[in-house]
Amino acid sequence: MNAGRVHPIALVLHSYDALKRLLFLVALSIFKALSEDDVSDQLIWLAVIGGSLVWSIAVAALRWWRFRYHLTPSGLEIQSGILRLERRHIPRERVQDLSFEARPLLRLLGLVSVSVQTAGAAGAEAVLAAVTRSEAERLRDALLADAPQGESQANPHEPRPHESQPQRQTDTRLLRVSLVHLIMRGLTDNRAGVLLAGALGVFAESLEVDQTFFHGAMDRGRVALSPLASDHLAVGALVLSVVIAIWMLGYATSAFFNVLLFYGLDVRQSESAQGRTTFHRTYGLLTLRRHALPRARIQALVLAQNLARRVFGLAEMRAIDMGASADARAVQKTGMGVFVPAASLDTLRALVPQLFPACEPEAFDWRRTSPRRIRRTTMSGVLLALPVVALAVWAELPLAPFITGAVALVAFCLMLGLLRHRAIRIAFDGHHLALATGVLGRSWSFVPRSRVEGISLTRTPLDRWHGVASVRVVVGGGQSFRVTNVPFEDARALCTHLVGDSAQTHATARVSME
Amino acid sequence: MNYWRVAPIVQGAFTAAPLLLYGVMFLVSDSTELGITLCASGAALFLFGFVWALATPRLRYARFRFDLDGQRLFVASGVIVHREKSIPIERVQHVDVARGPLERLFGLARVSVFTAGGRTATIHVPGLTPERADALRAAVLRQRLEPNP
Repeated sequence: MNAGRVHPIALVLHSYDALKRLLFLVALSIFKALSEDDVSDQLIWLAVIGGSLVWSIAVAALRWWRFRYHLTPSGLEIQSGILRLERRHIPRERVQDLSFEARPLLRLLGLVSVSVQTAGAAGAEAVLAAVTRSEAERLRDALLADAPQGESQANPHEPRPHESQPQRQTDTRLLRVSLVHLIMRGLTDNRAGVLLAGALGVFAESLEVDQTFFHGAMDRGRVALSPLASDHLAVGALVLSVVIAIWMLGYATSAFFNVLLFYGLDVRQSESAQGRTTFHRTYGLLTLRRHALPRARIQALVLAQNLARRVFGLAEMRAIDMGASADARAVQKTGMGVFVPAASLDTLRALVPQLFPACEPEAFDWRRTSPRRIRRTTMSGVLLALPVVALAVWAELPLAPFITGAVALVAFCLMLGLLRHRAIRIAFDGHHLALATGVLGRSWSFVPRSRVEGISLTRTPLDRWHGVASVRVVVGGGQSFRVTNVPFEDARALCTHLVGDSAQTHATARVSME
Repeated sequence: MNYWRVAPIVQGAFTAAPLLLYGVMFLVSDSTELGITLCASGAALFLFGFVWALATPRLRYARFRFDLDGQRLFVASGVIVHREKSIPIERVQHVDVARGPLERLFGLARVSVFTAGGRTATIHVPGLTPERADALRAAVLRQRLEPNP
């Protein structure tokens, strides 16, 4: 089958999507139908519900009926649209990636949905809602094959059962993420803290709204704890236990969703006969996803760990990819942005040379930025603290707390400067730029020279005074990496290494003074 | 009067115009205090543009340099904050020559060189004569096809 519609189960998926848009209307109608006493009024609302259902199904049916795809020698042709027929041709050269996703319903039927990704489009250029797995494999082999072979081009409509296998020359497993690591990732999630803050907000709000409930709870808490301690302690214990419970709930939720999204993540590397390397990731507990990322598309690698993960030696790896940055929500939801969600730092370090050949994190000659950073950070603390103290003097307030605060602030800034100075490092080995950053957590970024789209050096008057510059390296897709307080000579040298000839060779050409 | 002098005045005027407009609207509609604040800040912005325009064209002009050497396009600019931007020629996606109304008035053109890196990796070379702009555009495109180190 070379041309055709997707599997009819897409009707269900499309209906669901269409109904989701009418969710508000349907919910309102249900509420109204339940609350109305008069039967005729109820009937009106029931009719609205029925109408939305029929409408959704009709839209879905039309969408399914009008959607056709067709594999041509030069690419994929897609017809879609309900009222206005749209015909799109995606040339094979522009196809960067085909990713498969199977929601539980599709998995039961052995189907997948296929998204075709190109460099230009944000997210997916086209989505085939439901096709069989073998059909998906066939599409991928046809669209991601390198140069079109002579024979297959001559007769593209013939099925090519024998060609699909030899195209993948080697296929090796690089990594498998263990369940323990995934749960650890959830349990070390910083966002659990955010959830905590949100819950506390709600808690505080409920204090305002429902005094009686709160007081009731307090009384009960007091009664329960009164044999143990005084009233104040009881209240404290109650609040603390609520906080801890919410926090734990946050971690548990995070762990649950991490397992749901990334369960059994498996990274494989395949090499085509033409020498093109592609990385395949398969993951998911309920919704099974399969995502292919050609090496040529990876712009940069980032290894990152927050403080908690650093304690456990756990890290995540992100592959900065040209198209993916455009649709942040989809990236978050499908786990596309994270290449490896959780593994030990050493494993991930060892994985870097697999993704970028000859990029060995251990072999880099890491260099610190200028030690002036410490002085500058401390000075910024002083500049922040001085006006406050001055204000206190002017307003004749008691000075002691202000001075203590100011000293603490300056000490904090000094500490921050020291930590940053220790952590921030740059290295360049001729082919890759590597950056290390982080105060409490740590992150390492690796950018191949061939992916650098531009580099800019900025020097404020203070930077010039200190003989430093801040450097921003931009890669495809607009992601950039910035380091401040780089000694000026190093920054210039980096420019030279990354984009060619030295900037010092006198940039002579001037523009007109018209 | 030249381009480097007039451009910031016009820019200042454009930035200040909405503020002044809102200010006048508030003045008319009795919110005198807010109107005065807005008008004053608009006027301050405009004044800043004006002073900047009077004081710095020579400096800005002197700081602005560009270079194209077969490997990269390089631009240095900025009077107070110095900026140096380079993009590798082989990463250039497309090149625009644009002439805005002000540039047409002074018989100038602007070349913009775009890469896949988005706004932060885009280089603008303003203040070229149209012939030089076309020549620069042609040179970038030529070197992009056949880099000569």
